[in-house]
Amino acid sequence: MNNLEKYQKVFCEAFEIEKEVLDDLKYQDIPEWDSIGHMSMIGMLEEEFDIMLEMDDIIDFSSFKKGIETLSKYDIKI
Amino acid sequence: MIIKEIEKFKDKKDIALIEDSKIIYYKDLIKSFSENDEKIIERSIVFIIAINNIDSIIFYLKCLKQGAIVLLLNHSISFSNLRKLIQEFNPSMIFSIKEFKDLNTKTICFPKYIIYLFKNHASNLNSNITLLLTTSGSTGDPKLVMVSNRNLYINTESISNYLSISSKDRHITTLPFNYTYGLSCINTHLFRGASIVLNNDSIISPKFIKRINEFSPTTFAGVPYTYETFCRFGLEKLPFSSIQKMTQAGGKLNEKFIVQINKFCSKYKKEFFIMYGQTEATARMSYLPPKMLPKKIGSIGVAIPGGNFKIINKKNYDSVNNFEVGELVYEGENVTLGYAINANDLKKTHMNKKVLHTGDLAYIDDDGYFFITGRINRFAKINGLRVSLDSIENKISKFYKNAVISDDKYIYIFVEENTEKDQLEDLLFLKDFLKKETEINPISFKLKWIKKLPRKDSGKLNYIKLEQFK
Repeated sequence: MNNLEKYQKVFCEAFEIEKEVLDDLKYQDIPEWDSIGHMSMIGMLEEEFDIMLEMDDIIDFSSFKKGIETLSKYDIKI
Repeated sequence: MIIKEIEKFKDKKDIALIEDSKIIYYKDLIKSFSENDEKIIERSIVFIIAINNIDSIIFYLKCLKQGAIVLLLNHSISFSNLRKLIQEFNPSMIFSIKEFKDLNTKTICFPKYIIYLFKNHASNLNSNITLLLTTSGSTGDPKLVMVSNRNLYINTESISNYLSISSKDRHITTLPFNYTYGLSCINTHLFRGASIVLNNDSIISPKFIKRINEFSPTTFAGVPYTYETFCRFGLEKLPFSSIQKMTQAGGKLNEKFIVQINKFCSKYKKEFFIMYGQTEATARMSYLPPKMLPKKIGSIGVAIPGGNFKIINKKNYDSVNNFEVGELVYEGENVTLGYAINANDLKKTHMNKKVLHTGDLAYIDDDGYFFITGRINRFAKINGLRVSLDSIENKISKFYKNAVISDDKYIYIFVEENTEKDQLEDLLFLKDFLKKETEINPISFKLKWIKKLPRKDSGKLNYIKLEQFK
């Protein structure tokens, strides 16, 4: 599995959604991605990529696309 | 009446509410809630679909002032659940921060809210009742707790005392207005002439952090999730230099986090209050004094001023010895008047019950501190919200044979398998159904198929046996 697939898998599992809707997905677009869903998704992401995100990065993690940018700061190329 | 207490601040030049760039002083707040332009009718029911903003709070206070009976609802309520409540409780008016297009009734639009008026409404209701609170708020169950004027006053006063809230305090809201705990934060701070920074953004949003930096609040409240998140961020990294008091209720916080918060608070001279309550007790029943926190990790503390706890043996209702587990029973004037399932219940006279069987299992230690060990009732606490498992089971039973259990993190729904049907279709249907019918994040539901639901000899569902299928 490449990094993109891993990244997609976390979103699909965290929010129980299909891969097709991910590209345009933003925080609070769906009821699953509220603040509680957010923290649970972040936790899964950290486990998948073996990283610890900083507070500012967690707070700014506002969309599927934005997250790709954030992860690049932790040397994860998607 | 808490309104009378708030009116005492009419000559004060202090700030009452801050909604970003908008500031309301006490004298203006009191002037605003004393006007009745909307013609709120006393002893009738008014629904308030609110958020933490100036308009909602003023309207809420107006209703208290006019002697209307207020039902606070979350803005995410579905139209079908709202309609059910309208049918059962016949309100005279609905204040809503959002539009319900399908509500066919007289409407008055204001810049930031809408008033719906109903002609045939329940009237001349029991003047002793001031608030209706949802019990299992999240499932849309039309079973409401009736709160009297006295209940509200007594509990608000007691909480303000043990938290030593003063006019110097500044609270920032982190919980919904309609949530018992969120409402009690608003009530207690206004009761003492403190100021409130109105915030509806989640604790993980940049706007919340910005408001803390800009308005320097001294206090906030949180459910376990709030503190788990703050600990995850690292308490030292958060802009909490102005914060003096933090309170926690809405379920049991993991002891690992209590230890971390305690360490942080003793280092920076802040106070952390662990509290326990139920809507049936207006809001609060116990608190752990911060200086006792290091010695009593995991305890819900002692009964609030004016209240009393005892632990009874379910079999013979006797009190038990120290460290012996039994049902936690609370006694105090904040115990509410009981439940209402429709407007007729509000026409009756209700006795102040004073005694509440909490449904929680607990023990007392030798120093008189209480510890909760489990629950008798079929309720779960999901992200601070109390959820009736039976209510979810009943909803689903319209379509499927099912059983519902929970570990307070997830709600497990076991559906008896029907091989003739397409399971995926059922799954999607159920998920969609739960999304519409409840206010719980859908990721908290775990749907599972089971060949045959385990039952006891009596034919009743065997929930303990179900645990192994989680």
